[in-house]
Amino acid sequence: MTTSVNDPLLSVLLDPGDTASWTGQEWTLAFRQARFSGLAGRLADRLLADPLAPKSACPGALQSHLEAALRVCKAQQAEVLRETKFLDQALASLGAPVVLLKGAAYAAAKLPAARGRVFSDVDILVPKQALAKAESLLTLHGWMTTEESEYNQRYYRRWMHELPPMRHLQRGTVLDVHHTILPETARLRPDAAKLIAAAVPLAGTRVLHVLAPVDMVLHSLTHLFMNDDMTHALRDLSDLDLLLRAPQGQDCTWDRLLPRARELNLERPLFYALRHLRRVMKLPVAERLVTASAADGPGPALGRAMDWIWSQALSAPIPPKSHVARDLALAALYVRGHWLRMPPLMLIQHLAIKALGLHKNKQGTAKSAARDEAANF
Amino acid sequence: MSRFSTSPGLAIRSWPGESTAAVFVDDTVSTHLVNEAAAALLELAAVQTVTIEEVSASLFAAGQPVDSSSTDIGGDLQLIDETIIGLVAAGLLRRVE
Amino acid sequence: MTLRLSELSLSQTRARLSSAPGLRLRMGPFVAAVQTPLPDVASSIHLLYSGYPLVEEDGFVDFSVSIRRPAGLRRYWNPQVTFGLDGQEPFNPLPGDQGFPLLEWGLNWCVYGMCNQYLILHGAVLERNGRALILPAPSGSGKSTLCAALLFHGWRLLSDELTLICPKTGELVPNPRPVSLKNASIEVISRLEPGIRFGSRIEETTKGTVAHFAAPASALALAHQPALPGWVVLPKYRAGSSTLLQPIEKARSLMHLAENAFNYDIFGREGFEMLADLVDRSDCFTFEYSNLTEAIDLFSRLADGAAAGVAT
Repeated sequence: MTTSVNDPLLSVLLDPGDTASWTGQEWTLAFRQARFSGLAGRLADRLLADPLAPKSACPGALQSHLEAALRVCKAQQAEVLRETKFLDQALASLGAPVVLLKGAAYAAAKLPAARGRVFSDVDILVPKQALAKAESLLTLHGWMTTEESEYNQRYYRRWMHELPPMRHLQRGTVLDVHHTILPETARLRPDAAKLIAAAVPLAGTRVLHVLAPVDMVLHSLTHLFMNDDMTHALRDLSDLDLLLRAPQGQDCTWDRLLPRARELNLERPLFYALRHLRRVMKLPVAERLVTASAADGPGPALGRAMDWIWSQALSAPIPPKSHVARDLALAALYVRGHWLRMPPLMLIQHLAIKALGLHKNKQGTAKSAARDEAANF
Repeated sequence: MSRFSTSPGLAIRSWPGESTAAVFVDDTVSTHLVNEAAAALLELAAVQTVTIEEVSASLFAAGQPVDSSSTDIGGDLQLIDETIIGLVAAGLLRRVE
Repeated sequence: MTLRLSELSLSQTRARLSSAPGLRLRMGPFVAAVQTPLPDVASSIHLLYSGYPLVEEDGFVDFSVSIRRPAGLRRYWNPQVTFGLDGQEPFNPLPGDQGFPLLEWGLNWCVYGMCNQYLILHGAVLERNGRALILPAPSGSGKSTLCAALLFHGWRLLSDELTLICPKTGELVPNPRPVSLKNASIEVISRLEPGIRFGSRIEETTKGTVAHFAAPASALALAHQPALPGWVVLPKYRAGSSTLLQPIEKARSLMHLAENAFNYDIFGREGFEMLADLVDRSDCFTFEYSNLTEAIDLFSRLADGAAAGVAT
C-alpha cells in the first residue's frame, strides 16, 4: 500500500484543510498512526472540535471513531478535575503549596494543551520538606503506596524525584508526588524551590497551584527530553507545541525562556525542544532564540547521533514499516535517560536487576490479562 | 437540626408501580438501585433542603406512608433516619450546614 | 452488486490474506483488513467469513489486524499464534491451532475496547418484527446456546457477544460475526440444526472446546439495518429447571445492563440516560430454562405479543 503523503498524521494535524484529495487510504493511515501514538484524541479535537482549525474532508466512519476518542477524553478530563478537588481537600492543611503538573495542570487551568488529551495519573510537586506530611495526609484520605517490590520502593524513595505511585483505595486513581522535577542524582539539578516560588495559585482552590507559564513549558520539555519512557514522545511534543502556541502570556514566555532555562540548568533540553519542535511541528521560533540556544547544543558527533535517535522516537511509524530502527532508538534513549539520572555504577546494578527479572514483570502480566479478558466469552 | 440535600448532578429514573428506582451521581460517576422510600426522599431533597421531620410530613401528606406496618410516628421517623444515613453513606445525600 | 468473500476461491482468499493491504471485509458497521500467512486460519476465514462483503481498495479501514507466528525459534517445535493490531501485539501468544479463535477474540477486543461511539454491552442481541431482544449476560449463563437456537427460529442475529447501542438514536446496531459455541453446546446445537456447518473444533482453549459457525446470510444481508428496543431478558440455564419467564422491574434491569456494559464509565451520565431509555422502551424479564425447544417456543410467543408470564 503506497501513498503520496509522506506522514499523514502530521500532515493532517498541521493542516487539516489540505486533505481534499485524500482517499480512504490516507485517512486510515493517519488514524492508525494516531492510535499507535496516543494522539487519537488530539486528532479528533483538531478535526472536529477546534473552532480555529480549517475544515477537512474526513470520512464518516473515521468521524465516528474521532467522536469516540473525544468522549474518552471528556470522561478522563472530568475524572482528573474531580481528583484535583479531592487533593485540594486532602492537602488543605499541608502548610505548603501543592503544584499540579502536566495534564492535571493543563486541565485545571483550562489551557489549550488540555484539548483532546488523554489523562491518566495526576502529578503534583511539593517542597521536599513537606513530603512526609503530604504522604501522611494522603494516606489519611485514602491513598495508598502501590509499589510492592522492596527494591523499587527503595529506588523511588532514595534516588528518584518522587514517592512511589499512590493509588486511591476507593476511586482507583493514581497519584505521583514529586519533590523536584529530575532525580537528585541526575547531572542536571534544576532547583525545585525556584519553580515552587514562582508557581501561580489556582483560583477556587485552597492549596493548589500551577507552574508559571515559562516554567510549565520548561517542565514539559524536560520531562520529554530527559525521560526514559518514550512511548508517548510524539504526544508529549504535541502538548509542548500547544503550550507554546497558546495566546496567553505568549510574548513574555518566549523572552523569558532561555534566561530561565539557563537559571534552572535546563538549557540542553531546551535546545532539543526548539530543534525538534521546529522540525516536526513546524513551530515558528524567532531566529535570535534559535541562534542563542545553539550554544547550548551538543558537539557535532553527539549531535548527529541524538538527531537520529530523536527523529525515530518522535515519529509515528506507518505500518507495515519495520520498527527495528525505532526500537533501537528507544532502547538507546532508555539507557540515556537512566544515565542522566543515575551514577554509572548504580545504573549497571539497576539495569542488571531489571534484566534478571528480579523485579515484577508488569508488562507480561498485563498482556496475559488483556488476552484472557478478550477470550472470556 | 440537620438539613439534607441531594448531591449535585443527581439523576433519578423510576417507573410507575415499581418498588425500586435507579439513581446516577455525577460527582462520583456511580449508579445505585434504591427502594421506594429512598426514591421518594431523594425526590423531595432534590427540590429543596429537608429535615427528617419535613420528609416524614411530606410523605404522609402525599398519602404514601413510609412503613405501612408501623403504627407509630416514631417508627417511621426511625426508618427515614436510617434511610437518610444509608443515602449519605452512598453519596446520594449530603448534610447541609 | 457487492462482491462477497464467497465469490473468491480459497486460493484467491489466501493470496489477499498473505500480503498487504490484506483481505478487507465489512463486518457490520466496521471494515477490517486481515492479514495472515497461515493456511489453516485462511481456510477458517474463507468458510466462516464467506458472507461478508469485500471492500474496495480506497475505503477507510477501522481495524488492521493480523494473525502470525511470533518471531523466534519456538516456531519450529512448539508453534504459537499472535494477534497484531496496527503493528503492535497487545496479547501474549496462544497455541498454534488457536489462530481463528484468536482472530475472533481480537476483533471483539477491538470493538469493545476502542469503539466508544457506541455504548457496548456484553450480551447477545437478536431482532424480530423490528424489535430487539437483548440477552445481557457473562459467560456461563447459557446465552450463547439460546442465541444460537433462536437465530434458526425466526430471529435475526445482530450479535452473539456484543450489543451496540447508538447514542444518537437509541437503536441497536448489528455487528453479526461467526457464532461461537463451547463444549456441550456444540453437540446440542448440532442436534437441533443438523445442517449447520461448523468450522474446526479447537480443543484445550482456556474455555474448553470451541467451534464457530458462520452468521446466517439473512443476518448479513440486513447488517445495515438497526433494531428498536424490544425486550431485555436475563437468561439463566439451569439443568432440570422448567421454562420460566418472569417480569422484573425496569430499574433492576437498568442496573443489570450497567453491570454488563464495557464502557459505561466512559459514557457516564449519558450512558445512564441511554440505558434508562432502553429499558423504558423494553419489556424486561428474567428467564430460566433447561429445554431449548420450549425456550424457542416461548420466545416466539413473546414476539407475537402473547401475554408474558410464567410458562411451564
